Amino acid sequence: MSVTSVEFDHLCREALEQAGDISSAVRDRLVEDLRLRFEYPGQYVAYLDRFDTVNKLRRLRRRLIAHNADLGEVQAAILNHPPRERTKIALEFAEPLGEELSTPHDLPFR
Amino acid sequence: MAGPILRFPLTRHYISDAKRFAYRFTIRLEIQADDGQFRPLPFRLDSGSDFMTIPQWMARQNNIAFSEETGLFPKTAAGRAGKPSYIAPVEFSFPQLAEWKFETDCVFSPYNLPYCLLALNDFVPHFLIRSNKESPEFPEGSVVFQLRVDHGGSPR
Repeated sequence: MSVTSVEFDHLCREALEQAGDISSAVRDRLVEDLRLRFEYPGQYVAYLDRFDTVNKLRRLRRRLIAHNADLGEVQAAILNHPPRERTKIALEFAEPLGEELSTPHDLPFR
Repeated sequence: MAGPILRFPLTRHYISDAKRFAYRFTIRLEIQADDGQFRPLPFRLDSGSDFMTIPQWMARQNNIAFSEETGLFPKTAAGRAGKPSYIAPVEFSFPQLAEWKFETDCVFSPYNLPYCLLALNDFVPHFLIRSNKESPEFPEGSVVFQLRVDHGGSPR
């Protein structure tokens, strides 16, 4: 399922409503996670998260290191990153929005 | 004596097709390949899996060897698997604790999973585990792994 930017905005509002009373940092992370899945569906993404205090609020600063459908390309970007930050790099598969519900035990082997 | 501590963010993911949130524990581990190098791979904790699981396509792409002599046909909710899985030992490491590596049994699955599965079996023998409440660095809380004194790792 492809999602338009209008649908993405709607999805963010819907998720934030469902989330209830959350901090600015949690809200930032929620939106940035949705953004990864919106902008790079079906790709591997590597990123660095850092939380800073801005105007007395904790805010997320996410730095994208790499994104690619080929896992090898993203692995190379991680391994080429300066060692000081490398251990903190997250590596995930960005599931397309609307296709996240999974039950790995119902694997369609047949 | 207490060992080194690793902290991982605990996060809630929005499952848009269900309009609900679910906690997910995603983690990057490094798996040792045939050439001795460690390759970063994406993992997701699956407490229902008995063993670490790596898709066969990902193992082949990363030169992670496994024997195909004896195939297993796991029973799934959808019925008995039609294609064989294989089980073999692998060595893995946490990037934050790169001086140690750990051996575990791994199922190499024919299923086209885009990520690997981490089983309790892989880390419970080596770490004490607890969860922490929210903190400035981990706004949704964290999972804390503390290396046990009697862990089964070996120097990397």
